Amino acid sequence: MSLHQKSKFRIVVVFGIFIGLLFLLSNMLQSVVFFVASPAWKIGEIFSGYSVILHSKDSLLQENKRLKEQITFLQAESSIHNNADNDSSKASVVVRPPQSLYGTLIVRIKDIPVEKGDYVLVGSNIMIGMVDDVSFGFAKVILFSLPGYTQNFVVQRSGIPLVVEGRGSGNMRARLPYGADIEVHDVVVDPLSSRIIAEVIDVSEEDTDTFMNVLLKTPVNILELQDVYIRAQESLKI
Amino acid sequence: MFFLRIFSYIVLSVVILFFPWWFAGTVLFLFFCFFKKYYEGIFFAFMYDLLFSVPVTHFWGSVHVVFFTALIVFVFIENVRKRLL
Repeated sequence: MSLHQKSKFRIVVVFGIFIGLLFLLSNMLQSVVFFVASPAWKIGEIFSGYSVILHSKDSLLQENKRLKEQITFLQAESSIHNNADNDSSKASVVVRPPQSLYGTLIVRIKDIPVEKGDYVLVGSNIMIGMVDDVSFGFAKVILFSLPGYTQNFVVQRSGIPLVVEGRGSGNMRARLPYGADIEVHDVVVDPLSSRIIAEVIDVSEEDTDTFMNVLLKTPVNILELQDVYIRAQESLKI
Repeated sequence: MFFLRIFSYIVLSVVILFFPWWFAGTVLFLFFCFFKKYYEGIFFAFMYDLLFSVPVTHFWGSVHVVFFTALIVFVFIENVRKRLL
């Protein structure tokens, strides 16, 4: 083995050991990464409010209209569900798809106790995912619409159970036997909490297939989420 | 070149934290091409996975998709560079 080959081999070995160490310490490193990222996201949150100054007049008017609608919606919702949200914790979304390749949400939880497995809601009635990890005031959220993520839910009207698979960006898919009682605009809910998961937007049947393809969509736009509520699993059970 | 390399870390961090994944991927790819033996890019890809990944079947249960992709791209670019120069 020549000197050049030896040094090359050494570099590969050192690099391999370094990568191995990264994998071994990945749990600890995750906390470190969140520790480093959290101040940056906090600063980003502050600046995101001021970025609207740089926009054109038309976009400002549109933003104003959108915010007015949001206020009306939130006022209506808070008057209906005033008591329901006592134990919920509001969290602001700092990372949403398409920023993350994996389609996860990162939310800022602001000193409120949040645990892995807690449910993430929009308003008080729409459930969009579960908390996967909590670090330094931020929580990583698995969305039900995450590509490849499967969960069991039921159709509210007929009570049919179905396995829903995420397709990304708030879209989901399910397969049901031919002739099952499901229609477009049916609502799919979580069987334990009766919270809304998605709405059926298409039911397609093929002559050669004994199953129907059901397409579902979350009632909220995941790409424009601003605030969510995080609630413990137990508090949502009926 | 040394300071440019340091500056690239800041750029990459900002891009990962605040920009869409495809933009971060493009910037990382450009840095792999621009800098010679940009090992740091693989480290940043690993950090990206730690920040955002969750184990889902879509990526064969792996939580290190970006890391492995970056590793393959790195090896490919370095091989091409070696043959060209």
